[in-house]
Amino acid sequence: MKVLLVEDDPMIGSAMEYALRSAEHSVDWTHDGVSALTAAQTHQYDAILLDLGLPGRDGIEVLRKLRATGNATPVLIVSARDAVESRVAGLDLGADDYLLKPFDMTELLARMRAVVRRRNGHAASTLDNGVLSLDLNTREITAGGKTMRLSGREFALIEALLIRPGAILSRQELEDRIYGWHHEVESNAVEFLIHGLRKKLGSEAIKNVRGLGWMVSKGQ
Amino acid sequence: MTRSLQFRLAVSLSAIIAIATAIGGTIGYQSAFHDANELQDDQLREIAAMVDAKRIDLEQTDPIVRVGIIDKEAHIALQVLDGRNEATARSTEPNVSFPQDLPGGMQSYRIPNAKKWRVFVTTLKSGKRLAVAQRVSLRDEIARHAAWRTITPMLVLIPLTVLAIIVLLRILLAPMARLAADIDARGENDLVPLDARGLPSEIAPFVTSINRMLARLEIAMEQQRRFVADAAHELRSPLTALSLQAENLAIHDLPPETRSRFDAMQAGLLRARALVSQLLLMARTQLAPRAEPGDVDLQAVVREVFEDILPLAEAKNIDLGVAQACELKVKADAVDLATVLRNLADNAIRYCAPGSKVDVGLSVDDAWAVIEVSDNGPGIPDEERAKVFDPFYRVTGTGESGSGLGLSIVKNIVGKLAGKVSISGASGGGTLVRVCLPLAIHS
Repeated sequence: MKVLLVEDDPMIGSAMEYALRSAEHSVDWTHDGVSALTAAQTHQYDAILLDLGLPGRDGIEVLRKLRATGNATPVLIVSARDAVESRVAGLDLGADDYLLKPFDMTELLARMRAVVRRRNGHAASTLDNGVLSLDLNTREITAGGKTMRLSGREFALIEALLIRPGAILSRQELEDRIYGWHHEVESNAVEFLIHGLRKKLGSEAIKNVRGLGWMVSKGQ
Repeated sequence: MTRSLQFRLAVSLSAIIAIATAIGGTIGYQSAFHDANELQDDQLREIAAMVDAKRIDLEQTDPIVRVGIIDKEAHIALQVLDGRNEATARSTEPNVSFPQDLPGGMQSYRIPNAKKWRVFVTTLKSGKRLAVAQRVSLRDEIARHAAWRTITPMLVLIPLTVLAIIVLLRILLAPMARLAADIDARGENDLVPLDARGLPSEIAPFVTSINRMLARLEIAMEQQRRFVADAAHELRSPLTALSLQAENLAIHDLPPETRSRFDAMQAGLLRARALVSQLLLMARTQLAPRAEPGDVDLQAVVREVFEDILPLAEAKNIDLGVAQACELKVKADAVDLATVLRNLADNAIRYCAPGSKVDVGLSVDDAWAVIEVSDNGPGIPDEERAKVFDPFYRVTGTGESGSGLGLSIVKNIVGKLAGKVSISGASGGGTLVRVCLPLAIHS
């Protein structure tokens, strides 16, 4: 994809440019706000990586101007400013994501992909955490290269966990997702379902967090 | 105590009042005594005049009492000095006799071997000489009574006045005592100006000066904190550049020897990044609060932090769990609370051997929300427990490379929330960190 990199620090800029090129992206690198605006208005980019502390024109201003002129290119703010206010300001102005320095390039690349995918309107039809992959249409799950069909309740449970990998869900929350409000739930129904799922997907697929609930790992 | 203004004022004012009362009382006593004697002299003259006007009949017994101008107790003696030298006195004192040759007018006379009398001698129209007399000791007693009556109110008022002074001083100086108590009760970082309202105008200038000093101190502290925050912030850029360069290097296939050197370098970079982020966190917890805190559900915070640090625990095969939980609400910034819990849990995971167990517990103790993080790790020696809250202090010999700021940050935040934090030994020989925060009050 074609990326506009706006970064005034030459060391960071060159390292990012190199990393982006190595990941097969084409990169235009501008060092200040004014030339960033010019570049964004004259070229078509798939994503803009925007630093906030820029000479000439501040990154927030660049973003405001960009959105005001109807430019909808996905913008990822990459900044050392970590105050909640500047995050909120950036996201409110229409930034698609906010990454705090120092960061890992792998994470930046992953977030770029996510932002672009979201922009292109591809509603995910699979939930994936790197270990498990759940097809929401066919209700099939793939783990360790094996694809299996799930029962309705198994599907509801694993779907609840896979919507946000790494999040811990309590027994109560899982019961609410699996059963309706009016159902009588047997006391160990959740454990029973998880026991069954672990048999199918491997014992490490669903993790128990003592005292809190269950989760699936966040993956890589 | 003797340096107390209140004490000195009370003592000196009381002394002045006592002395003034003593002088005034003495003068008053003497003048009242004198006045009473004069009055009694007048009484003697009046009786003589009444005898002369025949309103008192000397031929009757107790003629004066009969007239009713004086009671029997007055002990007035009447004697006609007609040369017969006998006690013809029809008086309340029948058994006294005055010599015939007493001169006319008012005088004091002592009857030989007996009492002293005050005697008024006058010549009646009938030509007879009359002596009207009263015993001096009695007159003095009456005069003394009159004098005492005059000064008694003054004497009674002395203790009341002293009491009033003490009470008044206490009331007037109470604002100063309150001010002192206020200052004593302040936290070390509380530099809010003192309230000068209601203070006497003599003290207000001191308070104004103290407030000016507090303001200067505040600016100085703010600058220092700002410097730490700025420095940490500025360190981010070179660190970002370094880690990116390192990552770029890792894209390529490295010879095994270089790879292991490279991994060590990356570990160092990670450590520097952690230190900088902790430094920033530290600086931020010391700066003014970001926003008005709301009620935060501690269970939600625990879950959020667990989701964050479970990978760390898993990597070290540490059993991280919640031992005890209950619904708890605390008035605070959710980010602050998460920082406290994350730092405590991170410490426990970091300093415990692989395979250890780390427990987080939530409970209520009185009006406190209690967060406990305990482990069955090596524990912290007693003598080091107080020091671990100092910035950059690290327990030696752990082989771990923390920033040394984690517990300082916890202490800062807990202090800011008016809570308390303590470290003790856990039952299994490990460490137990207990954080108490004021429970949010629900109306």
